[in-house]
Amino acid sequence: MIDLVKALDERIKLGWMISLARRKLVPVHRHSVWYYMGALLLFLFAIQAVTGAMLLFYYKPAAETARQSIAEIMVVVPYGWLVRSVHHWASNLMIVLAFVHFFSTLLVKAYRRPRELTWLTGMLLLLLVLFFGYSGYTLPYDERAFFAFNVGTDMAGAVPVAGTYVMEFLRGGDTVGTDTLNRFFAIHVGVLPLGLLAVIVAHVILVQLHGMSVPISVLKKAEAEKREIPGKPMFPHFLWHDAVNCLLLFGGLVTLATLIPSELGPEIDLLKPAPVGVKPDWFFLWVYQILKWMPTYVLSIEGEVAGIVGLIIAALVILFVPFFDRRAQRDERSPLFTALGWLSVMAFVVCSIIGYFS
Amino acid sequence: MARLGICTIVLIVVMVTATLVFITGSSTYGQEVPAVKTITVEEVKSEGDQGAAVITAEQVDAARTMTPDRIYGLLSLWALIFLAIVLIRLQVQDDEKLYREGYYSKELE
Repeated sequence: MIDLVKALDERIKLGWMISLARRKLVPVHRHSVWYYMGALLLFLFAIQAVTGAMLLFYYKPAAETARQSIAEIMVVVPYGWLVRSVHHWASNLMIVLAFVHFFSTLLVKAYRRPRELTWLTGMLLLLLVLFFGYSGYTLPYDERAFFAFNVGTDMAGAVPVAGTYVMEFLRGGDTVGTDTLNRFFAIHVGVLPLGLLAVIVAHVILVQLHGMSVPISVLKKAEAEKREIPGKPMFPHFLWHDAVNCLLLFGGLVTLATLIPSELGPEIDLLKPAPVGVKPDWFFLWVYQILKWMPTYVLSIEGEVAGIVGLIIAALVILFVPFFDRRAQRDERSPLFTALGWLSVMAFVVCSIIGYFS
Repeated sequence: MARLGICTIVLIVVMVTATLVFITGSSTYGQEVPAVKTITVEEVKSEGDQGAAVITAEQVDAARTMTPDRIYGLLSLWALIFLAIVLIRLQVQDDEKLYREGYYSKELE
């Protein structure tokens, strides 16, 4: 092994990287568990890339063939049901972990100076992961996908000023059809993976550059006790723990895929009316529920439009939280932003649950 | 390190084999259905709401059903994962000993 490392160092100058990894310490404290989320997300992205590429061998992105090609993957292709189900569950777990990563970073205030850019790239990643989930949900082009296309693009259409243009761009015309499917396919397999990869690279470089953030409470406690926060070497100790987590996640993923394989809805029937209570996928249920609660008009503005504007404002506040939370920037406790963080967690969970059961 | 190497190779071989089986699987869908298919009135009537779909919803449901093979496969995967975790645990113990001895603070020669 040492010979191999030496040989690689001679050819591609690996030494500085190993040397850096050996010196890099990961802080060990009661919140250290949140440090594992990033590696798990990276692992899920790799699984998505591999299984997605495998599905591309058989998927036929046209209105007439999309659903049938998925049925073929499930029934005819060897282990097709497994590959598709792993892809489906990995996307769901990726969204779950992305939200956990986002909320944990928000609550431990890991966005503090000098990590503002790490936070911004992370937020962009969350947005891309959500679009990934939504665009993938529509690709089977079954009944559920058709209504998801309509509801999703309608919501985009309600955005003030650019809404109509965005809706027409996404649909590839006035109505949902083959052009819409082609656009979502291009977005899902071309635009989003490239975008996600570029932002992941930036995010990982920034994380490596600044190291792991230590929560303010841990910093204050160590200061009061006049001791240093213990650290564990990134390489190989922390990486081995990451490897164990990834193996367990992979096992859990295949178990879910085997026990609950992904479904395929009925074919689209354009003559059939939209079923009562059409809902988006679980990760947009909170948005759906908030919009459902909106009155018809808010100060003479249409309720849906007002709701979407409100959500955009809330998202912008969260996006720029590192610049608003001045106390955290000075490594001081900021209870107001902690309360806002918990409020956003509660809003997400409660609205999603109510949306699911309503 | 050798233990882990063997375990990694086994895992990679299993995954590559599964991938090859998947991507080299023949697509009978294209062979069974000609590019242009004439659908008779009887066919449309017999298919009902399903249209002229070659693979039915029942076939898809059947493909989603749990079989003994799938349970064995799942158990084998978990056995392999636990083996890998035990080997990693042993490796971590070795590494921690080396770390205490100051090996990881040395520069690469």
